[in-house]
Amino acid sequence: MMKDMRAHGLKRCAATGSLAAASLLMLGASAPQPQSFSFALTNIYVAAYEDEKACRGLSLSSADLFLKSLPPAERAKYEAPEKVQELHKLMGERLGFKMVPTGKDSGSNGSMARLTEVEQQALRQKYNIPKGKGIPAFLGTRFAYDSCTNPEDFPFMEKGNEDYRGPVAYGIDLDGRNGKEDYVGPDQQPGVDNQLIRAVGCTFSTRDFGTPKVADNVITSMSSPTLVEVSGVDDPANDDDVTVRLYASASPLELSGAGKPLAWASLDVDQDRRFMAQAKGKIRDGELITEPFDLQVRLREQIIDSYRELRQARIQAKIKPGEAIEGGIYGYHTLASIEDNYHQSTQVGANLTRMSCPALIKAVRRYADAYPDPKTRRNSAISSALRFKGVPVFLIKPQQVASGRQP
Amino acid sequence: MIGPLNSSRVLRALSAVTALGSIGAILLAASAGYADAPLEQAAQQQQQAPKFRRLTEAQYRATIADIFGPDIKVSGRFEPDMRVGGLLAAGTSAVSLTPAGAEQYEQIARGIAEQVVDAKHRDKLVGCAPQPSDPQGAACAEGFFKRVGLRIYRRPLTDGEVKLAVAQTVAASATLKDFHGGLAIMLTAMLSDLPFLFQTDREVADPRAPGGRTIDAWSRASKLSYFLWNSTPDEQLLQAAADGSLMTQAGLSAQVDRLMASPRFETGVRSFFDDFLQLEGMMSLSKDGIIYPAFRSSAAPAAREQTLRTITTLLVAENGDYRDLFTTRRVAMNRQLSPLYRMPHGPRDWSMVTLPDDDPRVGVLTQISFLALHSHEGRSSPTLRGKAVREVLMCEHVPAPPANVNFTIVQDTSNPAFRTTRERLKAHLDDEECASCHKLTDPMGLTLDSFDGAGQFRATENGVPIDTTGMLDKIAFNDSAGLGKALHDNPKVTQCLTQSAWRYAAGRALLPSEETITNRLHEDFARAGYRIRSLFRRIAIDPQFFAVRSPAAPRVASKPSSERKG
Repeated sequence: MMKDMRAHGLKRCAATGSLAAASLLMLGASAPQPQSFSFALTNIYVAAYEDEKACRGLSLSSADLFLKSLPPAERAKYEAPEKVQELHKLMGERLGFKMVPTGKDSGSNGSMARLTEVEQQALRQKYNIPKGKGIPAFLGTRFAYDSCTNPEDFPFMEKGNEDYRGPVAYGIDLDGRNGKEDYVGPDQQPGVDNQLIRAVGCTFSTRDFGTPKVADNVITSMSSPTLVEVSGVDDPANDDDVTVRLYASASPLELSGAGKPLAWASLDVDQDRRFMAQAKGKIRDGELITEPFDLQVRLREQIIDSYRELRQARIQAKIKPGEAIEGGIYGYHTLASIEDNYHQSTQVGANLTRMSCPALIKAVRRYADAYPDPKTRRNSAISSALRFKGVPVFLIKPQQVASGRQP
Repeated sequence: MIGPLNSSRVLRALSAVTALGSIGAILLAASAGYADAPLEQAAQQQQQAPKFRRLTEAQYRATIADIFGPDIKVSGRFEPDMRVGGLLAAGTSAVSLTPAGAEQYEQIARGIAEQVVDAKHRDKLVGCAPQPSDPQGAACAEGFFKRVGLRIYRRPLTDGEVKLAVAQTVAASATLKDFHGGLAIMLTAMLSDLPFLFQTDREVADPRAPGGRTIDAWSRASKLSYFLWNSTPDEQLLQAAADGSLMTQAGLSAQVDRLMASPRFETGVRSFFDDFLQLEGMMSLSKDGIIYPAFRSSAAPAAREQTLRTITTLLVAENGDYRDLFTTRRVAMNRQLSPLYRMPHGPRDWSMVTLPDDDPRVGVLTQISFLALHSHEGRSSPTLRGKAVREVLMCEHVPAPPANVNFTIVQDTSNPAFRTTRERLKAHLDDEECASCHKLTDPMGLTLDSFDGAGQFRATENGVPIDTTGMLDKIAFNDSAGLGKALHDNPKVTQCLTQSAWRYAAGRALLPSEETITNRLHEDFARAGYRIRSLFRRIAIDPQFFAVRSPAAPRVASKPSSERKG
């Protein structure tokens, strides 16, 4: 027999999910109670402003750099676009790239399978991978060694990155100063801090897939989207005191019959505390603005189980009750998390997105502008602007599932 | 094992021959319809209820699972079932077996037989093989067919049938040089044969009425089992048929009570309501993905399951009042459906939830299954919903629209002059010919128009608040809760259920002379507080359920004797 429980009524529905006009009509003019809105973010991406003159050209990929390193006769043999697959193969063979099976399945819900150091060492020995090199990849089903897992071994690929030179970039003024490196925002706001776009803004993938008109229609982190909960809302248009919480989802994002992100799905909150963060905020004319806070969001996408870490981040987003959330996370992106993303993408990802991991990592380190390491004095984070879009969902917290209660 | 190509050809040829032979033989016997007497007047036969009911696909699958186990796969296309008077079950006595259908059944049967005798299953399901003392396997085949034949034909095989089965098996085995291949050929023939594919009512002399007739104990077992479990009789029921106790009222009651105490009774009730509410339509239901993006491909089967789970929980597990289905705020829920209801659902599986008192959804009519099934692909339909209330739940008939109706106004949901469905229908009803039928359906259908074509709640349409006032048989109401209350209190609703349950159990249309039976059943249903268990039990022990003639015909069936064995 099924468990029986009191359902989340429309009052609760409005309280936790939306302020849909329909709900309000049914509720009548009952005394206002603080409400909550919850959303699943369907894509978080490094936002690129559309400016055809911002890049002198596209940054070179690792394959471009490898091709340039070949003797002229050989270069001529592989430079035709249709030869790119053969070029990738040749590059792997010549440079000793490895992608070997670990014998493991990926973890649940797109997570990385664990490989012990002993297991990794055995794989290195078995497949002639340099000592201490290579990392678990493809969610732990492979062990990889290449220019993304170990960029320090391929210094000739550090060249060829194009800086983003446009005057306009997404972001906000993070440091309260309007320096010469700062950009102007799309709304002409001065002092925009976004050195990340300077470093990566001219790669093929950023130019092609980083513009909001494209990226907002792409769904990423399907298996574990980031969840945003805005609670304590007395007035969805203007409220000086709201609380914003972030979580990772333990449930995959669901799709509608039209192939779009499904609204009003019930998604389980992941108990992993690394991806829980909280900040105070306010709503002004329907725009949510948080105080600065440190956060990590999970990045679990196809072959990657990584994370994005931002320090002193602020969320600014337009909330359309019952419909969507759309805005940005602006803060200092740690190099550690950026480099982990590149490592896990492996050469396969680099080839697909036409990038050079060594060049990008070098550029990001070069333009890093915050959080200097006390010992090395090198900056460990870089100002950035991530944009996102999300649909309304219901959050299911673990204790609610365990007790069988409706939230 | 049977070789892949030759054996398949041989199997097809032999099974066709054997199937045709046995089908022919059975047809001859069964068309007479007597298990113990060869002759009867043709005129008398015409007054009788149909004797054959073809197994539905669900019954066929359940039967195979019960006989051979759930891991035997049933693959192939079935002959389509036919709905008569709103019920597929009532159509089972009106359908035949077409030549193409016979071929399809034989293909399905062959797939089953090959699995039964394969290396994985033969030890458990066949249990023997040729031995030095039985080199051709005749003794093994005899034991197998006596045992399995009882389950397949739902009666013991005659000596002649056993001999034929053994002879065919031995012959086929010799041809194939494979005993199990030969066994599969004969098994295929039996599974393609009429006594398996059709429930058959075999007449015998009624022990309580000299000169009268009733159906034999094996036929009773089948009727009971397919009614209460939607599957074949189990060993205990067959034993009750074998020892004659099923022909006594006490023995019959004991078996009915046992069958209804089983968890499988829930399957029987599910099957009835699935048929009664025509929920199989959910499996081919499609909605416009642009208009209703939340109605995913998984939504329709989940909605069907939701309604059936709600019903079985309330009526079977909790023995609730049937009428309360129209006023309940409890509903089975899962995460496939909760987005359509715009409600969170914590459990990862199905659970019963109680909607709050101010929720606009009340009763099964406000579940996605009813709302979406009786709508168009891209818009709601008060007319289809009202028609379904009249025809399905109240057993009334609503005439079909004339062929030349102009639907332009009702189809144009973006016409600024008619922003709500009510306004569009009102304009449409300027035609008096249309209005006469719409008066039957629309007054309650419009009450449900606060739910769109996918069953999602909406307070407005094109910015205009939806008027949900309505009327059913002179009872006015303001919303779906009021409609549910009106249905709850309307005697036609319980009369319709009673009559439908009787037709479902009998597997045929209601005979005019059976009105007295259904009236009596309805009175008992009311006295029992409209409990479905009570209604099903009452039908299952009613002597008329086993009668060979309707009450208007010369009454020959009476209560089963407690002295005589069948």
